[in-house]
Amino acid sequence: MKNKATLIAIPVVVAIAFMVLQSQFAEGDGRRMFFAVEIMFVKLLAAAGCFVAASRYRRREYMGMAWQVIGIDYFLLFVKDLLFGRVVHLPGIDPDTAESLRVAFVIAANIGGSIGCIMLARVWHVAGIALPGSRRLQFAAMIVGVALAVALVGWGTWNDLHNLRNDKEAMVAVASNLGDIVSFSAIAPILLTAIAMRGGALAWPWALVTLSNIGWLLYDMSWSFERQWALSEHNLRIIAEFFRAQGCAMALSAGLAQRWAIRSAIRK
Amino acid sequence: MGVQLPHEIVFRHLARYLGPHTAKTALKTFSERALQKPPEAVTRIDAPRLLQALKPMLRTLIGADECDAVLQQVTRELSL
Repeated sequence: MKNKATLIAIPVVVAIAFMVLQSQFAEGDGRRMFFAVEIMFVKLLAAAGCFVAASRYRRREYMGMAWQVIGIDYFLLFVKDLLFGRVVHLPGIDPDTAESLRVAFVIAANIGGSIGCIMLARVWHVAGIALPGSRRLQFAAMIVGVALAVALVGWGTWNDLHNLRNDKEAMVAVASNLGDIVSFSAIAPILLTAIAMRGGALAWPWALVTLSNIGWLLYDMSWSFERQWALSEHNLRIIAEFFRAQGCAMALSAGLAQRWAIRSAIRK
Repeated sequence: MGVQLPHEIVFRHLARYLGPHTAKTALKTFSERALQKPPEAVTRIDAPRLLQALKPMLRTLIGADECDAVLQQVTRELSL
């Protein structure tokens, strides 16, 4: 695989840029605006990476569709932030309608992300390749993934489910948490696929998708650091946004890796 | 480099994408499924059926265009 250095450089550059830039906006409105723009930017990068990967496949090909729906997930989250966040203020729109639209975007994005993750997690089965390890080990790895996902966001989801009727914020949280449960549960089969393909060009996109999902897992986990380490809101936000940016940067790298894996092998 | 056997040529192309471990397993699985023989026993006459059996897997993983290009390359190297 060519361009390995670029694939590694992308998350490293994003990490350095994030740490340097966030330190320039210490507090107040500037800091809030920095995070708003930064979050949109990394989501857009992730969407671009997924669409680049999808463009290597013909329409309706399994892997192409998987990359496409994950790309749509990131793109919808970007549009949601753009239209209903701090950057653009839509004129003449009823606040209640705006809130309902925001919820619809989050739900649609999470459905797309979940479908994409399930599709990637099932590729080994669809393609007919064997995962490494015994059946028992594979099953154990998948159970650990599901248990970790439920342990992380299960309790919060359960609480939010009780407020679903009157609280739109609870709807956003439930949609987001259910999407997280699916994508974290997919870490094990996606990682096993990457391990199965070690030494081949396709190992790179799979490994990077795994790292992207782990980035999002750490983003979710970071909010619990507050209780464990008594972190300030300021530091907590840095940690959480760092991992979210890494999750998105890894998705960009994964998409590029997918495209380059195919192209580099053909040209040899 | 000496003359490569049919299964060695197919393995080399699969391993570029899938890595040596999965390429070996896939070759064994599809060879036994399509030809009822181990990869080492595959002859040049058998090779088209083996390539046909590998097609769905390759199409899923690398797409139809790249799959066709790879299989054409393998066919050329096998002098079929």
